Amino acid sequence: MRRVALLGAILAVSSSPTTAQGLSVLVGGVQARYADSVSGTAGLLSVRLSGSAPQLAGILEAGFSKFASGEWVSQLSSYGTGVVSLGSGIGLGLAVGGDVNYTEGSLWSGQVSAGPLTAFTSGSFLATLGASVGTIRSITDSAFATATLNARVRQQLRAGVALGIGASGVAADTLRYADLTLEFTHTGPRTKLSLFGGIRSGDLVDDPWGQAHFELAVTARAKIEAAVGRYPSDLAGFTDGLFATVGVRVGITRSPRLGGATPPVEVEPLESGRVRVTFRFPGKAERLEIAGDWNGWIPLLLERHGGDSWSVELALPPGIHRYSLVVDGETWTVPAGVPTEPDDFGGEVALLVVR
Amino acid sequence: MKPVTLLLITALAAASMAQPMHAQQVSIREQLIARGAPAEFADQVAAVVAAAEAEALPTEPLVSKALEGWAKRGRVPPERVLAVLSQTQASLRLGREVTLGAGFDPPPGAVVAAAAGALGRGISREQVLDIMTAAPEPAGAATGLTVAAALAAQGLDRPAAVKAVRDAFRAGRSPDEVLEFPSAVTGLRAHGESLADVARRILEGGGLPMPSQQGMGPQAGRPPGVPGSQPGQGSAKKKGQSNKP
Repeated sequence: MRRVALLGAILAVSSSPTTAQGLSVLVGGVQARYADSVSGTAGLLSVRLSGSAPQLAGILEAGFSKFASGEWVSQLSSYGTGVVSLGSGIGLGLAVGGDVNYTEGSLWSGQVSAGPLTAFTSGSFLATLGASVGTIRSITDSAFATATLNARVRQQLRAGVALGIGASGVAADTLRYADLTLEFTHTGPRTKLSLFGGIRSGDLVDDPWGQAHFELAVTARAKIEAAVGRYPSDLAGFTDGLFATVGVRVGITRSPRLGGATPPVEVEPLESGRVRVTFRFPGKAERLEIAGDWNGWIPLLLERHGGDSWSVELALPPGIHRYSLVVDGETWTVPAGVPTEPDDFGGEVALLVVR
Repeated sequence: MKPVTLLLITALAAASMAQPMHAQQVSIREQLIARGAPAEFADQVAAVVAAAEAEALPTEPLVSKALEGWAKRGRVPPERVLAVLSQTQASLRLGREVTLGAGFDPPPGAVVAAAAGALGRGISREQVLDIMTAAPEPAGAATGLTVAAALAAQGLDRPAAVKAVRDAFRAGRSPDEVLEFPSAVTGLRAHGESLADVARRILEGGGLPMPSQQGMGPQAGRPPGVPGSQPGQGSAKKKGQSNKP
């Protein structure tokens, strides 16, 4: 039987389409070992175009891999959502996705699907429910329709740490199966670690699978991406396999955020009307304080958590609060990348939004 | 700052929040003196606050501005603080007038303060009224005005800032959602969009992104772009057959 090992890598799988902006290029390599013990090593070139418009977000990615054995494969995938807010944290929209895989020798597969999507968000909690129908052209020349129902909840546990669980049911021709997935994400000042995996039950039998994806921002435009793990079989006809990838992604556009960069300030609701505010302050500081309009501008010491992460618990009602940071008891400043306004004294203050 | 002094300032600040308006005038003077301000300056500030109270204006913006200015005394001279207080008082007068004109009688202090802030950022009386009438309730009016003022302060065209808030309210979005707008503008700017682009986006009816668009998470299966091997040899099979449907 002819056997083709097809490789590539899109590493920021867990990134929301709306947080990845602009054009970027990934250059790297990948090593894979498939269910039938066949291995392959390839070089990889991938281009990602992503963007968002009001109530729309989309991503388009094209990849080309060439194996050490000489074979090559190209891939094109895209995903887009349009969500309209209905108020009170509820959104309703449409999700559309598809991909095409082509391998040297006229072996190709493709799939496309579309369906409604509903979302509910409250504070750091997000829940989505979606359904889709589509069609798949498998690598064995067969084509069939699919129907999928999926649900996912995600909760930010604390600044930079989120946990999610999802479930989906799939019907494709005579096959019926369900996936249960778990995800954990930790985002640091320059790093992002995503762990996720799942189990499957039903007709398309497979072992549990899991993956670890890691990103390290080297500069504002470049980061190292690495991933390792196992993926399950799919309806396009590919078997399960193990993979390890490493590469460098370079942003071509001006965007400094290549996927899961951490926002400079995060507000996490606590009990009794309190919030924990965490800042990313990369500037030099032995001591960092916050002063704002909620307490008469009395500087309050922030706790350092290593690196440039600082946090403090505050009793703040919902609203927009004006504040400044005080560096080493002397310099009044505002964090980079947060909303600001003039302070009427010739400087500026930052705006802290509490929902 | 010595711990004892800090404790005293904190106690005074806490006391001022719990006391009625008249007592707050005394409080602002004592707070400033406790922080090392000259008595003459503290008296001048207290006089401004007293005058505002006599006009039935909210005094919290003046107290906060005075404390902020004094806290930044390393680069802000007292004369500048007093000048800013005078401007803020004038804005509060105008804000009260506009709030009364919108039918809020008696005018809530939070709405007056927010209207003053918006007027101080160059938003016109008509635009302030636009937001007030579009808001679902008085507290929403204060939030909407504060957000519009923040958007204007971020450099957004005033008409675009007002339209963003007004249209959001008219579309049924809550004040809670509108609070996200300043961060949304900052995010769009960080992604390379110019202020003109953001303003055009709003004026063309697109509005600003809502948080409900975010967070799709991973899909079950191999990562996008990581293909597998051809079937037949692997373990992925339907019970008793290939994984081909």
